[in-house]
Amino acid sequence: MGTTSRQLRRDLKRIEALSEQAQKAAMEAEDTLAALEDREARRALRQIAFDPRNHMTAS
Amino acid sequence: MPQRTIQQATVQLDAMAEVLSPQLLAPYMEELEGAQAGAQEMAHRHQDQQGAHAEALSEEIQLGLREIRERFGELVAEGVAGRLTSREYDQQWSALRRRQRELESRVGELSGAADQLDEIEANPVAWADRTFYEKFPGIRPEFSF
Repeated sequence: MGTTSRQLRRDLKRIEALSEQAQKAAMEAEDTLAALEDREARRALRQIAFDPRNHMTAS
Repeated sequence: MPQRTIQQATVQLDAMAEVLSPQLLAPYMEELEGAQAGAQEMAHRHQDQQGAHAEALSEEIQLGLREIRERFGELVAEGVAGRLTSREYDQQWSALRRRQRELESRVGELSGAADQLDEIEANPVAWADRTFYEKFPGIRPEFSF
């Protein structure tokens, strides 16, 4: 005998749980992306700050 | 010979039972039972096909979501370790989200399959009658009454 509706409904519950886990993992990964972008932005600003060409003044 | 749904044949036979003796009714009862057995077989075939398709879809969705969950974890590790630029990270993150949404969009199909299996399991003959014989008069069983 093939899959019954009861087995499918158990699967659906399992899928619901997996979906919640995947969603949580996606949100955590999104937080990491924000941190990564922030780090890159600060690195870029530091490079601008330490670039001698930005410290030249008119003589 | 008239083609009828199981429901129509049952109503007709009930009417005949009021005027015919059990002995005279017996052959017509056998016809109806034969038609019910045919309807049940049709329902069970559909049940097997639908069940197999739903099972395969369920496995695909479960496996896919597990992989996505793990891959998000790996992505975080790669990002924290500085092995990806934010652009590369974003691209991979977006691809995983698209795949997640694609899988989740198919859950409705699975839920519909479960509903249909419920109906078939509850009364396979009635289900086959409603689904096939009522809608497609050409395939209705023939009765001598």
